[in-house]
Amino acid sequence: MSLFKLENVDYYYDNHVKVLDNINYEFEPSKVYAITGKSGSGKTTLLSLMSGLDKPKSGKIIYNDNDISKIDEDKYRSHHVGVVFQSFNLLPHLTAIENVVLSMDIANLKVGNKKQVALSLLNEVGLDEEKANRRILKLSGGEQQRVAIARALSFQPEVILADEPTGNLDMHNEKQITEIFRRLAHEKNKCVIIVTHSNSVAASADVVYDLEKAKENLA
Amino acid sequence: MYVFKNALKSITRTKSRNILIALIVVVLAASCCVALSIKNSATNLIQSYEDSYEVEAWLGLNRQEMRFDMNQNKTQGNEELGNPQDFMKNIAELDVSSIKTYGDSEYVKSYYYTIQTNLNGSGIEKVSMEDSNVKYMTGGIGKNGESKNVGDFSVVGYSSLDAMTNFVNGTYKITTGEMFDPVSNDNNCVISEELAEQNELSIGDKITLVNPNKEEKTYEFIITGIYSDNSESSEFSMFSNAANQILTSYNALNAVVENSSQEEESTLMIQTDARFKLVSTDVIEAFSKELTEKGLSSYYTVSTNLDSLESTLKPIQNLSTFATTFLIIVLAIGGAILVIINMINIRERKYEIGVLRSIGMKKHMVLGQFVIETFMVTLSGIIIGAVIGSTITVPVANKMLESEITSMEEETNEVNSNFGFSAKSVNMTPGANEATPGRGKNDIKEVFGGENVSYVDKLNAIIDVKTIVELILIGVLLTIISSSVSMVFISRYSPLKILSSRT
Ligand SMILES: Nc1ncnc2c1ncn2[C@@H]1O[C@H](COP(=O)(O)OP(=O)(O)OP(=O)(O)O)[C@@H](O)[C@H]1O
Ligand SMILES: [Mg+2]
Repeated sequence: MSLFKLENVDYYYDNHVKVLDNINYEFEPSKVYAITGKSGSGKTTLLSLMSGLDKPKSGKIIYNDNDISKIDEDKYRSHHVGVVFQSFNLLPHLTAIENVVLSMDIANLKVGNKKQVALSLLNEVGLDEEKANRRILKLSGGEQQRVAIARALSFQPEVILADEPTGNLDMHNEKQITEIFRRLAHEKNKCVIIVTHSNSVAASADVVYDLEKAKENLA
Repeated sequence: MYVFKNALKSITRTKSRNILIALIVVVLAASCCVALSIKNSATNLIQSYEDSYEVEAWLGLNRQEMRFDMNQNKTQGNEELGNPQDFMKNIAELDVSSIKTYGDSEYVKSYYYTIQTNLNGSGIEKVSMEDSNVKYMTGGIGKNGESKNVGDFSVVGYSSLDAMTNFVNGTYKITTGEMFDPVSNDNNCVISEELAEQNELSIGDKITLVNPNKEEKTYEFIITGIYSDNSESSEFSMFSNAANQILTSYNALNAVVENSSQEEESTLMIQTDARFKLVSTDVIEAFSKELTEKGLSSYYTVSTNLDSLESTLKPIQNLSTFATTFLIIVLAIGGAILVIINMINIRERKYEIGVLRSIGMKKHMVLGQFVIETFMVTLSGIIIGAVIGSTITVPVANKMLESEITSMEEETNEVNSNFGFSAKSVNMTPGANEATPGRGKNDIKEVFGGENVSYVDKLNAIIDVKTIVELILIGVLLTIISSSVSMVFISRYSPLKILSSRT
């Protein structure tokens, strides 16, 4: 049973150069997927489509048997998919904790102490309490990336979409993050989809989709 | 609601942006507050002035039209109506009984009238022109000239105290004794200082007046008061000397007139004058229509003192117009500045909008947060601005009103002393507002239509509910203007567009 399905997805930007051409992928819960491809191959574009921020020019994206272009995209993003953006998309005037709590608020999550939950999530991705209370711009790129990961996990989505989540991290932290993703998939039955350059991250995944290969296959 | 929490955080964490906006709003609100309270207190002042203003109407002969019609009759060979005396006969005379008919109207609050005639004196001599300090009587009454059969003294009978306009406006002032009661039938009178000096008369003395047409007919009057004339010497009549006026009540003089008219030869020429105090400025038209219906000749025109009201209110009306114009200009310029600042700020806000939308916050929630933010900033700006504005305006406006009230009160006290009454002797409670011709000294308060209480109330009404409501409306308007730029971005663009278009 697939949770997530891309059917004949095509996409091009305003200049009409095809970025995604007839993509057919399937994703299941309890697995870690890696999407690889060279820079500019369309990985971020694909993630935008999967997170409902944009719509395919043709083809369908099915989530839980629903075409996501036909459901409430805000609710879809705030409740069902946790997205780690390549450019983080954190709010600079808020602290790390506040950024995480905000997502929990938007998802209308019913937990006792949101700040406490947010702090333990941040601890899990390797940020101590002092850093968790800093404003975003006072954190390093890698630290910001980990805040973005914590935020994506905060409202307990079924799907996690992560765009280069370890792009700014050293080997040690990268290992830690991939371990978290693996646990989420294998212990909490999440569907984890990671876009990555890194061979080691790809190697830790259960399934690897190569966008480059998809193109070659078509050619 | 997390939207509030977010809005508050956003305000406190992006201080520089919000302080700038708040400062502009403070300036705007202070200016608006000043303009609004000036406008509103001007409106109040105009209203209270209009409410307390005595609209007076009087009747005047349109001599030009009469002459024209007379000449018309002459050229048409209608000799009978070409003669002024005969022509006048055809016009209903303005006598006291018709005045009473005219005054008995729902449009008339009160009315008064005077009659005037000329009598000779026995044992008293008139003040000659050379002797007097070149102060002559105002024209109008008694333009008959100093021919043989015209008396030396101009005797005027008043129906009430407010008929004595010279005393009301302070031209005349009782220096010894006091004013007779105008509603009494007693033959009391007041005379000028000059006349008293010339004949060595004092309070309580009797003077004898003689019918100029028949010497046997004499009338006695007792002097109750002597007045001084403070008028400018520019007001004079060639023929009569103001010092030779003898003032009495209508009833007393009317008795004289009626007595003299028992015989054809001794009949006195009398001149009647009336003033009607109307209930409001709106009834003038209706009142003059009613007069025509009651038989007033079309040669009489109804004149009012409305022009003087309008000219009095003109400066304050100008002030009100200026305040309104100022308000509009301030709002337009301020609104434009706010939009420009928001356009400069929107780059940062655009990213925020994109982020909030990309993590699934609904459009209306983002919009709500932004509006709440702007409203809180604007509201605090308005509160500070209103406090600043009102501390500037209220004392100024109060001062304006205070001086207005003081001058009103001074006027009342002064009038009391003009009549020779002590301020205490006058009952300050306004009496029943019947349209009675006879009004004595207890009614003096009514002459000025003032109740002290109503003036005091207006002092507190400057920053009133109306001003507050208007300020809140301005706040809402400024909020809408301020957040309009972000509203456009939130509602028109998808999060991806916003995020990818920001640089
Ligand atoms: N808004 C845009 N308008 C036009 N072209 C775009 C736009 N965004 C991306 N592209 C182009 O689409 C292609 C795919 O971009 P995308 O960001 O998906 O690549 P990517 O695989 O994520 O690359 P990277 O590994 O560097 O992140 C690129 O050639 C890029 O130049
Ligand atoms: Mg990318």
